[in-house]
Amino acid sequence: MIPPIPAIDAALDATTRRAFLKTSGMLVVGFGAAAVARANPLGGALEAEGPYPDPDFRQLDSWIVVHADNTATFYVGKTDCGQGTGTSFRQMMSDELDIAFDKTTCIMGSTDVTVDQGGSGGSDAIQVDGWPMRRVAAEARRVLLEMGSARLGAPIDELAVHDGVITVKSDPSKKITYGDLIGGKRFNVTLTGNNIDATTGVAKVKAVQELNMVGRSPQRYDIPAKVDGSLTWAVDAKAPRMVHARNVKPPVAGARLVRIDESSVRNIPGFVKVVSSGNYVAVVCEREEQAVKAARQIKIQWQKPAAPPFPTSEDLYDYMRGATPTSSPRPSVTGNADEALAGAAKTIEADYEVPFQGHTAFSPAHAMADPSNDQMTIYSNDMKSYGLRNGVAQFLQMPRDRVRVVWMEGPQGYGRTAADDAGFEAAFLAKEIGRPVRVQWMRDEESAWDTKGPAYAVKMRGGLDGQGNLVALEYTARAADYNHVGYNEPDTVLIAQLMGKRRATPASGGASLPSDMYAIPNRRMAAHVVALPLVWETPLRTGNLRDPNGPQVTFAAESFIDELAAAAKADPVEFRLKLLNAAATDDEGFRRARSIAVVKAAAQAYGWDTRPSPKPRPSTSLRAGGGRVLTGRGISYSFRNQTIVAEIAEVEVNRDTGRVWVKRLVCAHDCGLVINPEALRRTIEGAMLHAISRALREEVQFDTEKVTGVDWNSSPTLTHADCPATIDVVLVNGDPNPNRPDLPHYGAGEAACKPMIAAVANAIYDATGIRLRRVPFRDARVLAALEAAGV
Amino acid sequence: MSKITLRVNGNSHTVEVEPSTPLLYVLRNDLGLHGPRFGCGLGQCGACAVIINGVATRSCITPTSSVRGEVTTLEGLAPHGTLHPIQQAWIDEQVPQCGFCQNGQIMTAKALLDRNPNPTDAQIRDGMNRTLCRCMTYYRIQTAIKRAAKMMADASPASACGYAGAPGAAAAPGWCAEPRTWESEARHQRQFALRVGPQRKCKKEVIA
Repeated sequence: MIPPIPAIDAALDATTRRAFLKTSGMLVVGFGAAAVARANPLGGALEAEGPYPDPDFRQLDSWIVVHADNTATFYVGKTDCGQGTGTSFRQMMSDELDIAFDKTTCIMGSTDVTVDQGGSGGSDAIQVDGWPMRRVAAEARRVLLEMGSARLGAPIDELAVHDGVITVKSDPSKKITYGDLIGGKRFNVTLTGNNIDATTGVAKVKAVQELNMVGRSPQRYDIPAKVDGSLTWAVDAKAPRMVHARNVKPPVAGARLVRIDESSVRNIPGFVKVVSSGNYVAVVCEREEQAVKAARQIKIQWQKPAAPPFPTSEDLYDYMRGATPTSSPRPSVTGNADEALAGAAKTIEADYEVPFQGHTAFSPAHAMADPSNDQMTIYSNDMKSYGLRNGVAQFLQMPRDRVRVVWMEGPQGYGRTAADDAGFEAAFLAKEIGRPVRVQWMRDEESAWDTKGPAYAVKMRGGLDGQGNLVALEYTARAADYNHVGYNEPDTVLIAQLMGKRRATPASGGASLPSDMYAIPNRRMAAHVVALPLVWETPLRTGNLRDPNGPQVTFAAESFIDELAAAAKADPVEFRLKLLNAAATDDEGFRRARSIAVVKAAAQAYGWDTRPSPKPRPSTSLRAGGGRVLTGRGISYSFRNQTIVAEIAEVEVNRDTGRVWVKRLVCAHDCGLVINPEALRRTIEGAMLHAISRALREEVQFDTEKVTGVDWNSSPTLTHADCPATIDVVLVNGDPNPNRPDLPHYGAGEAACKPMIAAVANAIYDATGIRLRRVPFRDARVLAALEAAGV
Repeated sequence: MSKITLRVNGNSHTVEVEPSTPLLYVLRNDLGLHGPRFGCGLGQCGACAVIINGVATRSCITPTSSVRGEVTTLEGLAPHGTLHPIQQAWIDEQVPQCGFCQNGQIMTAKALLDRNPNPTDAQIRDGMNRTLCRCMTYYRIQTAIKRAAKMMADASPASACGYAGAPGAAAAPGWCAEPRTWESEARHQRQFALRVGPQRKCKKEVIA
């Protein structure tokens, strides 16, 4: 049996959570601590009654509890979407507190028991939120040392502390544990800081050299319960008298509800109610399969919109290029690109296209809401649990402190998923029905109606001088991102749109620019946002998708750098290094130096042979004896915030089928101080393969009125057969002073997504001489390109 | 509604449901199991996989009334809390990201290894291909399957109870053909601890 994590029983003390689990017939498990956040940090048993005030981030007791058995529980306002951040938080906080890692637990993301650090997002868990965590743990250590000093009768500087035991240096027989000093009692220490990210005590954090667990790879504590079936996920949340709901979405985008024939479902056993408001419809039944049946069977008359809501996915890019932008942020300009292009010895231009791509979460969106005690408790995997709480409170016009979100594990929190929508729907229905309601979207609903990463159409122009130097570069992007929805907004969440409770003015959306440290004398980067005809109640609503905009933008930017290298007959790595080395100055994060280090590390790890692309082939024609499988390699590089990534893909392109297999991957990754190298490697692997799925498979396909890719056959994803044979991840510390004691820790959840599509495209070009400028590179499209080029 | 009796993880359960009710909903909502989960309801992704008569079966498209024989869920792989070697390999390799699909990955791998204790890379890719992961942990899953195959092969000849789970024994609720006692479980644990060694070195890394 996996040993229980110490102190979890104390953390479980008589809470609503426990009562909830008991009454629903599920046993609390004693491990996987943060998997089910469930405790009042101070051991109180009051949540059942509410209200649920925000834990005060300026109180040390809100963050850390030291128990009598000399164990500690950390309460943090983040959620772990599967990258192991909870384990990393424990490593950082254990080090600062000077307690053994395996004597700690971490509880995350439930609005009534953990401080509001915003949940997850932006890959900022380690980069931003790790700092207040380190500082409060350091402060707890300082306070405990003061208490130990008084108890042992020795000055603080004559004390040593190790694994939660304070000893007098000159007489190690004199000692006392943290648990003896404070076990079960409050610190009552006030912290300072204008906002939660700035939270601090008096103590300073340790130098990198003094950290012990940071840099090691303890196993993730959440994994055992995920492989033995004992974890209670958000999909498992149950409550007494709970009913099941299924949504009934409009059959075509922009349709208006005319009439519901409730008699079409009233005879279904277990039928409870049809709930509708505006164009929002849900059926509620006692049992799940009854709700599924009712949602399929219900007869509803809808009125189609007068005009088509959008062009087809085939016509999308022409539409976007012809549309009048809804906004155009100020371009980024260096030198004069027009003049330099006019004077260049050689100019090239190219258009790149990236479709809408969905989260298409592996588990369709779900949530359970319990309206007991005139309150609302939502059991959700939403990565921004605090935002869900605030949004639902506004949506239902309830006081914030009568609403809480219990965060539980769920599928892939990679941005603004439909988990937000399901949380609002469950709460709305629970209020309507007066019983706990579980909402679960179906597969077609998730694939069609979850939020999408915006489609991009990018034009690139570049000019080389007579020596093959890049003298001018122009980037002009159009992103279909108007009315980009934020997280848990009560006036943009899907149910609010369908109910007609939407905001007056849509969000302007955004369009991004490339992220690189190339020194190019004349450069103009401009981006425009465009809108599709239907702005509200559309399945093509955009929201953040893992590394928002990054893969789209970098596909264009880094493919074109490769095109320029080829035009200059230069090696793609050398061409990039020349652009990086062309400037003498760096920024305060040393991103230029670190970019150079990362590109070099990737090339070295791969064993890069210096030559221009495409790779010379013995024959251009299969009939003339060329092999059936062509191989090539491509590099791409970018950064996200302070994290620098270079990736090399080696591909096999099958001439008979058009199938592209990324056979080998190398990633060089610099995110500063690494907390848990093995967890980081796996995060990077997942991010790269996610981006390969976007490169090779993923596209939201639609006709003029609805999304047509609605399951895993019509909307394919990467599979086991596509998995690379070899992946090498090199963790780089490219800081000019790599041993500095304040080496920062940066984010890693998304950066490795960014350069990947371009690396695959560049490798396909190296293998075949064919430049693919439209994502995804599905077999049929590649085969058509091979045939068209006679390869 | 009909009364239907199922054998799940070694126990009998009688439920009263519409005969066409997908097995998945009965396992989750009537029996309170958390291993099999809803992913697509179409038999395309594998999130709901259980093992019935040695075959990894998609419970979301299996009518409850059609079930004949013992159903094993993820929970049933670890009788008395002793992890199946596949589960241990999953921990050793630190496979999951979010972990939502891993029920299907583990159950499909179990049926695969029961059928073919020493699969090639190509057989693993082929055998697992219809079991999807949106965190794209495929690389670690495939490594873990090879690790588990080795653990089971190493244990099998020397052990009184075949870890490898011969096809005929696959319908048993767990992985062990020997009567399970706390003593035998403890012996397995010791054997595996010896063979597999400490789980992870947990050394401080020098980063390039």
